Amino acid sequence: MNSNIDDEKLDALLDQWADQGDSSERLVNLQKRIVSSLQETKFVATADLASKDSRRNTQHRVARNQWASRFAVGTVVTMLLTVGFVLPQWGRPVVSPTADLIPEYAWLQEEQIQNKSVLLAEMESLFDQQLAWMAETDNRLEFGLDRSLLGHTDNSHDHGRLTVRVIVEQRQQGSAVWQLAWAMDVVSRNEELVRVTPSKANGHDLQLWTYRLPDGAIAVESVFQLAGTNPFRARVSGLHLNTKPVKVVTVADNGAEYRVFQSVAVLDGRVI
Amino acid sequence: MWSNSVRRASFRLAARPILSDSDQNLIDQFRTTGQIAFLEELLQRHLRPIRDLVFQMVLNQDAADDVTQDIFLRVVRGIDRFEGRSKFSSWLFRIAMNTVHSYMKACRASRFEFCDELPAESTISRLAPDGPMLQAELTTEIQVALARLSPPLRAAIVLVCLHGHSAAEAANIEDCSTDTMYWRVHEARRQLKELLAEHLQ
Repeated sequence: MNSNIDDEKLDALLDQWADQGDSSERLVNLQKRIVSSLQETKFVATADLASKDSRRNTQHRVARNQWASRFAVGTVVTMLLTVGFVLPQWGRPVVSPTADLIPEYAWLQEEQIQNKSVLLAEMESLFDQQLAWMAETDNRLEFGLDRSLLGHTDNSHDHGRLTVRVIVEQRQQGSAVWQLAWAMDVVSRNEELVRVTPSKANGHDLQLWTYRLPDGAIAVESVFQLAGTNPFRARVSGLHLNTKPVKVVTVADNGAEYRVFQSVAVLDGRVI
Repeated sequence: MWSNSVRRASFRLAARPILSDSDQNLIDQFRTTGQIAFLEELLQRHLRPIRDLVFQMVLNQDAADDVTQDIFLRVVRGIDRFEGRSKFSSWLFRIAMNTVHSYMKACRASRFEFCDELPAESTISRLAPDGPMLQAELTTEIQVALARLSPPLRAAIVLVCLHGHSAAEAANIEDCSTDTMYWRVHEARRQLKELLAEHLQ
């Protein structure tokens, strides 16, 4: 009986979660995207039909013309040569221009994590343990202080320091090459709301909040706002595994494409 | 000029599928005329449940969009293979789940990859320590719990509990026996109840 009640509660919980689904706007955009792909598919199908028709016509003419027949034989030989030499080239693995490979700089390397720990320790000492967060971007260091910690000797708040790396890449639509548009490393306390203001980040804006779950996963909520000729704004929430970069956003707008990678590392116990 | 535009408008109306058309009719009309409008109608009918299904499986909004797009392209490419013996929606769900499983297999960390956005109505103000953040935490915990289930168990709970398929239908979609599907739903429930115990009290 209890089990049935639990089942009902579980179902209600899952239903509640499922009902929070995606926004209508997202669905409309997805529909447009798929229709656009369908139209391309249809175009290919039409092209296939056209080529079949043309082949049929060629066969008809060949039957009437010996010269054309020889030409057709030559064409077939050329096609066979193509099949023999060109197709194997296609079979070789190539890097797709749209391949979503994680760029190397999105990874938080062990040495970098260690350096951040050392820097954090120094800055905390410098600011008398009032440091709430610090952010590195464009060779600058930004700080957020928490005055409520003034005079605190208890370092318990230091447990749960995390570093988050945010990488924004940009490319023009049709281009194969992604370029780094913005990179930022943030070190913050667990459950600290960090906001790096536009004036300090070339007009870009980042809001970040991290929360460590008991099982070691890290929940991160972030809002990015990129300034410039093609500004974009995105908000994401999700779970991260320690140090593993994740592509959290892909946006295509006004002829430009953006993608955002995020990685998180725990700094606990690294500072001696 | 005016009459031309009227003609064009009436042509569009004529070409537009009637809303009451069955899925099978739409497919037949697409096969006959090649008009993409019939596919668009099918897409409009089935996009939301399929997109929901995909997100509930992959737990990542961007990936859900990509996989959903892939599913509908596969459906269109394979539409000639749809023989009408089963409902179109069953066939579509089967393709969807196959595509999702392929995607998850391709992702090495498929059991625990990245759970994406919280509810759309959420705003940054929710980050205040008291108040709606609790709801966001619960949402995250449910996603974490689902992510912990193996793909077959997740598929079972999603198909049966969230999409209302019978065990037999879900078994058909997942290509397993009905008994196996019953067991998977039971096991998925057991694991979820353990993982979400504090919210079920």
